[in-house]
Amino acid sequence: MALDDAVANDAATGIGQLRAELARRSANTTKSVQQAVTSGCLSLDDLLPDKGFARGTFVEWLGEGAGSGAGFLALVAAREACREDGVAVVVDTQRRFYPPAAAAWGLDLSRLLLVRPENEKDMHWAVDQALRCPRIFAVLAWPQHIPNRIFRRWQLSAESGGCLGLLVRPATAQSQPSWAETRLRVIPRASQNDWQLTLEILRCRGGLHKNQLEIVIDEQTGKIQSFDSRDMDSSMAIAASVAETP
Amino acid sequence: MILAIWIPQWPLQRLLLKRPDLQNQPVVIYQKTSRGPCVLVCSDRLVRWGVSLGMPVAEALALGRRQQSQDRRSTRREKEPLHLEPHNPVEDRKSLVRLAQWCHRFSPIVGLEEETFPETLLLDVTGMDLFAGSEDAFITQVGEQFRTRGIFARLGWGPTLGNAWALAHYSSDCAETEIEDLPVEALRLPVKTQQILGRLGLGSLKDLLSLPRAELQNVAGAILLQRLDQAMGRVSEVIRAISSPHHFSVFWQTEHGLLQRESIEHVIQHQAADLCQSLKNRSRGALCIVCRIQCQDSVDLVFRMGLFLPCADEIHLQRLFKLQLESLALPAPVMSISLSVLQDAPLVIRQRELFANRISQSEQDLAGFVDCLNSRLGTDCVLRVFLQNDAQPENAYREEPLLEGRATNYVSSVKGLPFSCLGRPLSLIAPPVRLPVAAEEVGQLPRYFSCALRRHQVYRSWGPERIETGWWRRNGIRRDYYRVETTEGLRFWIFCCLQTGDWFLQGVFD
Repeated sequence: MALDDAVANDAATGIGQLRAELARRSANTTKSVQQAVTSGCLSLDDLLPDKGFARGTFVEWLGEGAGSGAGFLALVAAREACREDGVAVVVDTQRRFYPPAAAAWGLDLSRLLLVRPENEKDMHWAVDQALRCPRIFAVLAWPQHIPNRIFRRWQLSAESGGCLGLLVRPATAQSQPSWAETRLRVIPRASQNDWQLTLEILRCRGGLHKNQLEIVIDEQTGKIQSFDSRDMDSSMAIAASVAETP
Repeated sequence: MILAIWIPQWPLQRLLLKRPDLQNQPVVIYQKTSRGPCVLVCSDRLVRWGVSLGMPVAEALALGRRQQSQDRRSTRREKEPLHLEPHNPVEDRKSLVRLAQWCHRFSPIVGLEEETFPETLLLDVTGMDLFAGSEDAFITQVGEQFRTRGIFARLGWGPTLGNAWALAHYSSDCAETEIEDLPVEALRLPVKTQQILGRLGLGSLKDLLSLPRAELQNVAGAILLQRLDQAMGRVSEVIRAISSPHHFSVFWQTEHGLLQRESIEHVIQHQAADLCQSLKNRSRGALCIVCRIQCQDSVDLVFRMGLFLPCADEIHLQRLFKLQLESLALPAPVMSISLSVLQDAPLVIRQRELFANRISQSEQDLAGFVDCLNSRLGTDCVLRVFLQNDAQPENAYREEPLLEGRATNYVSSVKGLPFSCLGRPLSLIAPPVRLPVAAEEVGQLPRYFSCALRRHQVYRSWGPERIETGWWRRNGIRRDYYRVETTEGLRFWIFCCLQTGDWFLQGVFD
């Protein structure tokens, strides 16, 4: 009797696993589309409708000048997108990408492919190919100018491959048409502590209750958090220390 | 009939074939033993000087030096340094196998002797003498071909393998040798058995043949009788044949040249399909394919295509050829096209699963992606990155083309980084850009600098971080690095060259 019960339980478990596998396959992609990619900053995730960046879409980071930190924010998103053994592709036409910095931010270099096309045309083609590949979870590129037709093709490729496209562009590209689902402008601020940046959400699917966010990057740990929440953390810490003093 | 080709001192002959510059130099090939490195093979000149096999290398060096100093006094000849080479049995065997494959021109069945360090090739040449006219003419031809290749070889032939081997190793060069006159070493017996026979005073095969077989078996066991029968041509042995490498290639030609790119693409696609079929028939996959397009009254167009994984998928190959053709300028009508596989490997065939592992499937997709990029952009544009333990920022990582092997999940030798997240910029400017500094600011952190046609004012800075390379490096560096934040919040990585006092911009925290 006990044996019969065990067999019935095994069968039920097996059928459950098969159902789960079929459900996963019906999603028609190897990547978990439902689960959004965190931006690396919880406050920014809270502002976004999917609580992060949706896979199969594009995110544009418009940096207010060289040295604005937009690339780091895109890199963090790429790192988060590739958490589940995914491969990241960096398309670097200018030959300036510095891999040790990416490694310091926690990007696994053993799952990174560096593509250095000679010209813009090849860059467009390489990004398109990378977006289509099911094994690639994030594509990071620094394109200056993207023709509308090419951008539309990229968007369709990203959709079919389920890949997250991350583009770091100068703020002057704001006037150009874009097929990116999320567009963020990064404005750095001179500050006394850590690195303070203002994120302006220029475009995002769904309504926004707030389109601007002040964030700080911790110098040592690289932790990205909103300026308000950090202030709250520090006040809580001060309050706790005051409470502990006799 | 079996032909045995003994190549004496094969490790030394191989080395001299590979490095002809060592021809006139005394050479020692040594192997590591419990007594330290000992001589395995050495040049004839060293043997004349008293170096013997199994002698410690230090002793051989001392002998060599002493003899050379004597020679120099008598002949005033320049001193030639003794060349020491470690024994490489794997490479020796590989080269001998390649030589055996070359010997397929003499016989379809070619093998190696079954020894730890083989030096003899064994050929079944039954009936091959018909091609040369006579047996002697055929053997002379084989010997001549080996001499042309610069290989000294001794040839022996007989009805069985044992017979041919014995004659190749122990027959006299001058007179015709009878098999009975050969020493017992010609029987390929274990050393222990040879010692027993030596103690009994049995030095040649004639001595053994004069004794009753039952007594021989009692003295040295069944192996002695077996070897004796093999040497006398009574018992045959099997040659473990080495297969010849298969060449995969397809060729197409036309009388009237093709001009239209579509037609050429069509031909190459057909050829790729044929090539894939022949690869699949042998369960092989191409790793490197060369395409040669012969144009009318013009030089041949040749392009080489490397593949990341062994591939026999015609659709994938056709796609890669199409990418290559897109960037190819045809100077004249095409007269012929050939595709040849330069490197192939066993095809990985997996049984289909109901729920196949998605990672293994997507690895194939990744390999396809890498192949496409390599085809269009070139192999130096698709790279994987390794960190290196080097203080100089430019040398802190290494790039390698993705030609074959693993695309991802390889193991890095560098564990841990000596800097924090914001310690290094994401964009490195190489070579660094010199920053013009006002005369009054020489030797101190500049308050203003220009980058990308913008003038920046330094608001705060972190540093200095001293980075210098070892004195042994030719172009060593001594730099003091600073991370600077401008009044606009932008961040840069600049350094002061301590040798010249100049300031440079090396990175942008993009």
